[in-house]
Amino acid sequence: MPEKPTNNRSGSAGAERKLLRLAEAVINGEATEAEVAELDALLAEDASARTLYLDLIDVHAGLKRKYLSPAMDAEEESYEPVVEESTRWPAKHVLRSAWGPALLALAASLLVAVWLSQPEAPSNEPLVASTPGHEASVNGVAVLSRAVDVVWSKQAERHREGSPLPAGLLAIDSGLIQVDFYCGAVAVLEGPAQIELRSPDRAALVAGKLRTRVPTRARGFTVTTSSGDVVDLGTEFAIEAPRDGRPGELHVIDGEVRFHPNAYGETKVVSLRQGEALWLGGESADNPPGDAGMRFVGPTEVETLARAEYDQRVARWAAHRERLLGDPHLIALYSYSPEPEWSRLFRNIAPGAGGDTHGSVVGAEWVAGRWPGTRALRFGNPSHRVSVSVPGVFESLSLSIWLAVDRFHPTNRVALLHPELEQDRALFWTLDRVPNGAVLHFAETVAPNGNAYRNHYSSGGQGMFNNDVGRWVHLVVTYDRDRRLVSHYRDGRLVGSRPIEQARQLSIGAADLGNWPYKDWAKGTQFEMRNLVGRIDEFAALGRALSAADVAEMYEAGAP
Amino acid sequence: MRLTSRFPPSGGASKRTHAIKAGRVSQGDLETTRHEQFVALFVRHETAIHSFVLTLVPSMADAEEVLQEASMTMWRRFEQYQAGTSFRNWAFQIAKYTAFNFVRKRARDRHRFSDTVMTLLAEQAEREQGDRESRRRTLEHCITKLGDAERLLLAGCYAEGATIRGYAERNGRTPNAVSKQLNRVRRNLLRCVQQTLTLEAST
Repeated sequence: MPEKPTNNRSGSAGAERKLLRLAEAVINGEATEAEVAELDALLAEDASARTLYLDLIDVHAGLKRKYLSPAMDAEEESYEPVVEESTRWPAKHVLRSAWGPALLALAASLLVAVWLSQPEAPSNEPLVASTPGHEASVNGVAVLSRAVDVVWSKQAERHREGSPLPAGLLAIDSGLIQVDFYCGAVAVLEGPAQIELRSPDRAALVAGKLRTRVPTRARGFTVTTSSGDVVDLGTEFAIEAPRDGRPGELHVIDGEVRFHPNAYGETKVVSLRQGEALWLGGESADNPPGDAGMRFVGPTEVETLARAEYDQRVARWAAHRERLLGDPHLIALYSYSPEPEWSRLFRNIAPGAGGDTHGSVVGAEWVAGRWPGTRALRFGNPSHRVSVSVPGVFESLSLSIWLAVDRFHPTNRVALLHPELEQDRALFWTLDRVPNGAVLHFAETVAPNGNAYRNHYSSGGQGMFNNDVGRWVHLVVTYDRDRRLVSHYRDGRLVGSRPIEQARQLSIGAADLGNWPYKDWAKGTQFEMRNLVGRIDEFAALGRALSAADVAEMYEAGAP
Repeated sequence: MRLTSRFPPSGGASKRTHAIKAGRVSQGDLETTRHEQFVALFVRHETAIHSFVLTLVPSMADAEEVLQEASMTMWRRFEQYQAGTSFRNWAFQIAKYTAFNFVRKRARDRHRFSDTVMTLLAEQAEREQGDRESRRRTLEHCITKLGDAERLLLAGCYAEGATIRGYAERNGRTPNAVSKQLNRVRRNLLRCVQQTLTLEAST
């Protein structure tokens, strides 16, 4: 039976004090050898001494655990982690415990540590492999370089332009995609089509039409079909997969390929040169298929088509932006404006916005933005920030941001918008790290330095993923007083929402974008690292709750 | 590729293996999922594991190292953990092994507890786990009752990599004064925990 430590302790008060004094010396790392020996003797002879020692260690360990994580200390004691049943992170039960945020942080740091120890990680590139965001590119075999009018098939994963593609099935119902294999081969797939990516230099065409350009360095690039392997020797070729008993076709547009049939009796390797063609399965070799002509879309055409589509999208974005600027509820729209960069302004282009509401750029630099001719601010280190000041008090509110995380550095929380605390009201919008990426978090409070409770609204579900690194993502949070609901969106889709139990008026006031404003006391501490490492090219605030349809439209219009 | 995590880790494994053979899921994805399972379990028992390690290796600097090493070992040997059995007990065994090894190897080992005491402490800590859960929750409540100055002190001394000496230097105080204040705060917390539990038990 374990003793009840409080009422069952033998030994005098003097003995307890002695034990505590020795244990504290050991804990603080100040004990002499003799003191350690003395403590050892006490612990060896008396079970109640061990109990007291264990009690003290529990306090010690509890403090260690608590303050290991900056979130708990710096934020508040009243943190009430919010649980959504939809959370994708497995440790739901953890979020319910009082330790929630600290544990998340620890899990994140452990994640980094564990990554370092993974035997699968390439030993010559430990740093790259240790960054969770690089996971996809480490495991990937290709990149989706273009997608034109694509409708993705339901049975397979959707991908975005610029995404690394892991080995696996790509399936489209219509449209065109261009896949850049890591070996250098560039393949254009025309829907409906299915292709299975197998490795950086190998794929299997299951259905549909494929045209591939293979540079010399990628010689040996192989496309498997149901009737045999097509091995490229540095060239351009096109394949239509056999289907429903109809034979497929192989056309060599330039250079040379070898075809390795896999049917019985057809073990002979066939060599094909420019202009030559072959039936895949069925038909005799004497009567080859006709000229490929323009029946296969290649990389050049994709480029042209992609450009035309892109121009349309830019126009759609510009039109949407005009509508946004005409919205009477628009409070602020921070965006690039063509002006000298030394002005260090992140301009609030909302009509009627006061000159003192423009953002002050500290450290961050202008880099290429989402659209041609636009620019984004890149936040590179913990000193980089944009300080804004937005007046007004609102019943409902929507915040929208276009950002690209360039790196998830080891921190438990990344600030999107973080307020100064010396004001009547404050709101917090952050990415809270979980091993796979981050959940979205919104909180608001009155008198942030006082004792008022902070109301927390976590998305529960994940709003960012580790393989989002480098890509533009649209995040929105809406505070809907009428419906008593706070909703989080990622790329136009609802990630999670929480009911408002205590509705309060909101104001942005003085705040930082991409960082938090506690510059001085955070210096040199863990808390310093709440900065975004990445780019922001637009931040908007509206004094009304956007509907789900509004948010979806905003994303569709703004997705580059 | 986005995967829904499977938790607990039992089941689904063979399906995933088939998927791998069919080339649909990369090794990396499997690794990620397994890793998620590990993190979920580890995080759930982290507090207990951490306390357990500190029991055997109480000095702050050493404990961090042991905990780090123990968690690495747990991850490396995670495949040996049998789903459905107690992860905490499994983790404790690894932590114990790591702690014993650590104190044996280190030059500081003359500052260590004897094997007898370490074994006694480990046994008692394992036995009292259930009881200690409520103490940990109570501690959290007691911390909220501390004043600002005390919290600043704790944050300064207990942050990752922090030392009493470093904190004292930054604040223009002597390490001895900081130690004493720290001891006082810990004792107050210990008293608060005990009183609260006694109160709860009597009502």
